[in-house]
Amino acid sequence: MTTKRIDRDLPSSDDPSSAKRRIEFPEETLENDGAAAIKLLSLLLQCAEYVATDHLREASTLLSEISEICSPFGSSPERVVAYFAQALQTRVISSYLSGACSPLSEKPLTVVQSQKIFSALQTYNSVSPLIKFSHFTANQAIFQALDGEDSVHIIDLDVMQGLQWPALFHILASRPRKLRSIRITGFGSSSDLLASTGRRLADFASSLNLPFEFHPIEGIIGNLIDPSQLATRQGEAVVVHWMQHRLYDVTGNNLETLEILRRLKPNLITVVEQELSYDDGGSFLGRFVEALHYYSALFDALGDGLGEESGERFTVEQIVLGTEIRNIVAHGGGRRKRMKWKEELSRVGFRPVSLRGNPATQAGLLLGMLPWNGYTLVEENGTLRLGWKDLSLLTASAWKSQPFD
Amino acid sequence: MGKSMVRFAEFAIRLSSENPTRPHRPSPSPRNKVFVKKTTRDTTSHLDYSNLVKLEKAGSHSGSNPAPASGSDPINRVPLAQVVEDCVRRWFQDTLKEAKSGDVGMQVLVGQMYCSGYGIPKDENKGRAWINKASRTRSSAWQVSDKPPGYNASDSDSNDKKD
Repeated sequence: MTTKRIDRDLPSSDDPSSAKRRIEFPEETLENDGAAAIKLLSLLLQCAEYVATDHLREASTLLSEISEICSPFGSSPERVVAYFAQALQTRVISSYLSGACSPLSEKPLTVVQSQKIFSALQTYNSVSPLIKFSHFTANQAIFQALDGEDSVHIIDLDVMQGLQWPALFHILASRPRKLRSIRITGFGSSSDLLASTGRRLADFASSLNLPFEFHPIEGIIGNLIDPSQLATRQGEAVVVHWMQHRLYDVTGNNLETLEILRRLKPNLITVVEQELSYDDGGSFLGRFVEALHYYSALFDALGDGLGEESGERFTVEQIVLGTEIRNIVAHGGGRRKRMKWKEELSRVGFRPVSLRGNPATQAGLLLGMLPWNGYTLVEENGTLRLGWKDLSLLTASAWKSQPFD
Repeated sequence: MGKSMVRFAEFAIRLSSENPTRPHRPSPSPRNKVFVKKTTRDTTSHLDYSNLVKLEKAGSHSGSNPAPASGSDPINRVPLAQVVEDCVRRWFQDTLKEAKSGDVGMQVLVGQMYCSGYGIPKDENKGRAWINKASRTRSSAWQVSDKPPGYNASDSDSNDKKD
């Protein structure tokens, strides 16, 4: 098989202009400090171009050259290029082996993988505001939606360690009108980890005298075999929450997910999306360059407050950002087209709920109390957007079911 | 009301971080206050919002942060994201030059760049025009431009084989 593959590659090397192509970048517009970064990035983009135009041999050669220059422990450009080069390497290898792209996380995460990611996300939370922004904004929207309700069922599509919910419990426990019941259904990949999350949440709810139930579902919502597991009770308000990421697959069958959400008729859905659309007809190049812009901004943001030798930053970059970069570059595209959730939610009858007012004010207060500079917050058409300098990172939005006709 | 809101925010911060220790900063700067800028902007959306509310940390752009003690980052004055943008723009210009000289692979690539809007403002008409031009030289250009990398098209290839 390998020999056959090499034979098929021979025609590619007959294109001498592409093989000999070298990008020459004049450096007059940037100071000398930028020269090294320009060289690194130009090599990386050249490599992406080889991959996009099916010159895998040239891509492999260039990857060897790149790996000698950059390192996950170097300057910002060196680190970014290191992680993107690793992702391209994975892409090239899988192309050689199978000629096809494997879907994102074909098999569920092991317990150890999940624990590693969860631990890294806690570190991420201690060095940047992105997770806090997600939790805070969604909780405020949920609190407002529950005005007048005394019973609630929250469905968390990706509960992880449940870090979002203690803060919501606290503001709900402060209401003059006491809750009759609050229960959370949490999706996750490991029943053991779900159980420990449930115990932690139950302990906290108990300390606030909240009547709490936790329902774990091992698996993902779009592949649910028994939808009655999500059955709601008479008089319950239903809330669905989803913080998106590229660490692993959360929805499985997207159309099935959408149908389940529609049939639930929730009082509120809160979604926090990364500003990565890459719906460019599946173009590898568009996806690569967009991700390069996005994660460069994140590396800038993380580097702004932390020194070069920060172990926390290394952990976040390697386990959180590096995993996402690899999933986008090496496993993106393929047959499953990414959903544009805002459009789909509107199509099946959900209406947007504005986050202006209290959610925006609270998010602004949160940002003002954190030690990092450079983050921006914009409210636009009822959604809240967290950015770094002039690049948008996350968008929080809220939705409710159309009332019965 | 304002006081309880601040207390709520403080509580949420403490709760959402199980690890309460804050990252150590070599030269911690005083916290910035948040101020609200309001500008009127017309919107064609059916949502009836006429104001753009932007919450921004004061001094986040004009203030100069002291360099971290251990920092030896070579890009102190040029943010990495800006370097990336500059590099992508040059990449496009170089690719366009080779496309104009007849390189079919570069013509497909330029088409993709126009369709994606990277290195150049998005222009799907120009993108399709370049891919059409490439396909006049090689009939499989359209196939290649949509296939995942690693796919090696030939004129006699059939899509069914790939699925």
